Amino acid sequence: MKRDRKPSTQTLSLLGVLLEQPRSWRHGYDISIATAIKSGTLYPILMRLSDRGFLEHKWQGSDTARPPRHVYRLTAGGAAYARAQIAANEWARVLPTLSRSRG
Amino acid sequence: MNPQTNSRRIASALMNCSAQLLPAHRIGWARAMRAEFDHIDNDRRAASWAVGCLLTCIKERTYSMIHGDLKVSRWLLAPEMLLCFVPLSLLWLDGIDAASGLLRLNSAVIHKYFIGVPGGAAFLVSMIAGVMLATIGPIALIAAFRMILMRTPITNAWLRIALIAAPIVYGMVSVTLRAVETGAATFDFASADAFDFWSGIFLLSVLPVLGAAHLLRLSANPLSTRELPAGTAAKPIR
Repeated sequence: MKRDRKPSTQTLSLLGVLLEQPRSWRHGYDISIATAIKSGTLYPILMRLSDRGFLEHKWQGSDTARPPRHVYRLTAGGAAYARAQIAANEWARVLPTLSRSRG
Repeated sequence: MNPQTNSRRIASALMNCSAQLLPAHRIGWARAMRAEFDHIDNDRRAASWAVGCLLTCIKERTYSMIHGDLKVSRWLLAPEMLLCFVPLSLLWLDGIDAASGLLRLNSAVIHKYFIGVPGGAAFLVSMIAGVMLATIGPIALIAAFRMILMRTPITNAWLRIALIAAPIVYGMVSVTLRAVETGAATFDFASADAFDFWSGIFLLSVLPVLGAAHLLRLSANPLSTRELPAGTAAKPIR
């Protein structure tokens, strides 16, 4: 039987940040700054969340000559999952705030 | 963004490496990471981002290799097979054609150096047995490069068994003979010749077994792709 493992602190922090504005699209670097999670940890989490259908993503054109960026937001299921996980780990609610204060 | 700085160039090269490492089904993520990298103006942060992306890609590649079909590119498989089987092949060549190799033996030499010397007969037998077991080295190399160049899997059951069994038997016999000779000192890793002996076991037994296991795994799944098969269970979120 498949068993859900307890999300890591970084995953909870990421879910918390995405849940702040669940309908807004956010860039990877933006999320990295907001959560203080390095890219080496951030992208595996984004991939896992996306694999499980908790995250939707699309390419967003840039105003400058730079390439389009990949943007992310929680799906409805992802938002429910995020709320459930954060509620189950109440202390994690403060993590995004703490992360920003560190950054 | 200043594309001229060395730091930026190195970071950009790391991003390119990252993209090469990611499994095919993750290639969109490589583009996503690259796009973010191109939007980071600060060179130091860009370098840190690139290192993180490289780590991500190594993790993903490792994950897909462990949970996938162990299929790697032919450019990686070729040196891997050389590393695994060339030492055993050199041992075989040495046992056959060196100054004291089997081809140089004649009745006079055998009687003078083996039959007439205490323990010589046992040494001769172990030498012949070692050469016979080491024959799997060149055979494995041929089979490996046949697979690499012609994509021909190893289907012969006897060969499959021999590829795994011969290096294991060689290693076990070597350790046993050393144990008979030196007793408890066999596992004294601080002894003077411990490095020579155990590095020999690693090169001539452990590596060939690992290489053979990889070859057999590839042979069992020759049609699969480099990516995780569809329907593979998603990795748990942690």
